[in-house]
Amino acid sequence: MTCNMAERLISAYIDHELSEDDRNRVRQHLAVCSSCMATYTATLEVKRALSSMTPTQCPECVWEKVERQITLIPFDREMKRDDSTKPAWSFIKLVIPAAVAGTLIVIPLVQALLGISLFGAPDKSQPPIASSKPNPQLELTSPSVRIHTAGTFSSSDALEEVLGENIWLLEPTQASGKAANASQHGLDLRDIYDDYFMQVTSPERRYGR
Amino acid sequence: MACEWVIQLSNEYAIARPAQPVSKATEFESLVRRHQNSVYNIALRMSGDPEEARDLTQEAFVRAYRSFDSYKRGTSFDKWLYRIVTNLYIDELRRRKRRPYIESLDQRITTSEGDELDKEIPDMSSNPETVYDRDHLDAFIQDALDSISPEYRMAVILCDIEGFSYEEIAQIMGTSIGTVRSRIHRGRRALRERISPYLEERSREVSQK
Repeated sequence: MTCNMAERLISAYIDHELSEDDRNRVRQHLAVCSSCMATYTATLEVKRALSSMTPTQCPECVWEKVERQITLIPFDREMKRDDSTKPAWSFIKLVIPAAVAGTLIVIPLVQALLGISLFGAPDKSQPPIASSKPNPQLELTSPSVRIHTAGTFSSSDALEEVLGENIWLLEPTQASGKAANASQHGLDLRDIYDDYFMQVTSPERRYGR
Repeated sequence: MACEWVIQLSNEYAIARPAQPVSKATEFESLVRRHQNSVYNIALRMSGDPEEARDLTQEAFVRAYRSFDSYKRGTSFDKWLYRIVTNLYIDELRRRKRRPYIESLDQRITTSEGDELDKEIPDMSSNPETVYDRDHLDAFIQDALDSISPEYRMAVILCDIEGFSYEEIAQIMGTSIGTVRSRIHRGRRALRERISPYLEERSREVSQK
């Protein structure tokens, strides 16, 4: 295990949130690496310092203010909502979903049948507004892993943030194919593999060699 | 701690589940009183300011009351509540423009009780009886917490101060376990860089005694 990977796993190691396999690997690394051992000790001290912060008492007046505010919320209306025998609410409860469903189904149907556009042709000169947040969809079909994305990632942190736990599934053996595929979608993963994936995942880990 | 609440809560529900229905407001009040210290504590650690923490706590409970009908009785109330709390605190703290962080050695820092303290590291040697300055340490850690992003801060607070597991934090923050792992790793790393020199100084002073 490299220091880079060990450093990333130290927090989860302290919290007992690693698999037995990873836990052993971190433990073995710490036994021989004084630098990572120092990081481990310092991280443990941070955790202890946080957990020993003095607990605070909520000021008593909080509930009084909450109570004052929630009494302003029309409580009766909320109670009526549960009472399905009230005809007005029952009527609304039926009509609103029906109206929404009708709008969603009928308009495309009319457009399709009559071949007309009820709202005018879409303005093709305007590009669709790009989402500010990357929206990747992972296809975890063996043997290839593909990432489709509507955005780009400025750093491995950003990618990791979005992919979350799926990042642990990515394989270095698939890196080259995935990078090529990703680059077609404006996503350059090469630096990220160097920095992160190659460190975190290894063939031994996946295939138990 | 959280698990104990759940068990305690479900036990009390089992016993207190009434032949006569308890009014919504009464039921809500008892839940607020049970959780207000913890909700306030998270608000205080997130905001670093007692006034702001009180406002956030009130707003969290008002929001919880508004959607109290959607809370499924018999499920974990604390996780449901903390999800509201988390969304509110992160959104609010991001929305309110954070004051630019300008650190000065002369600047005084405020403790959770509202007392003001000098920021400089206490000179233990001048007062050999002072082994542990709890307030000062709390204020120093709070200062470090204020310097990291709200997502990282919330993940670390839920883990180290509230004692939730990664899986529970993932449910509360509406994210994957991998993202929780990443946020805690990055949050603690940033905290370590700020707090460790201070902790080392303290332990050195204590060992010299």
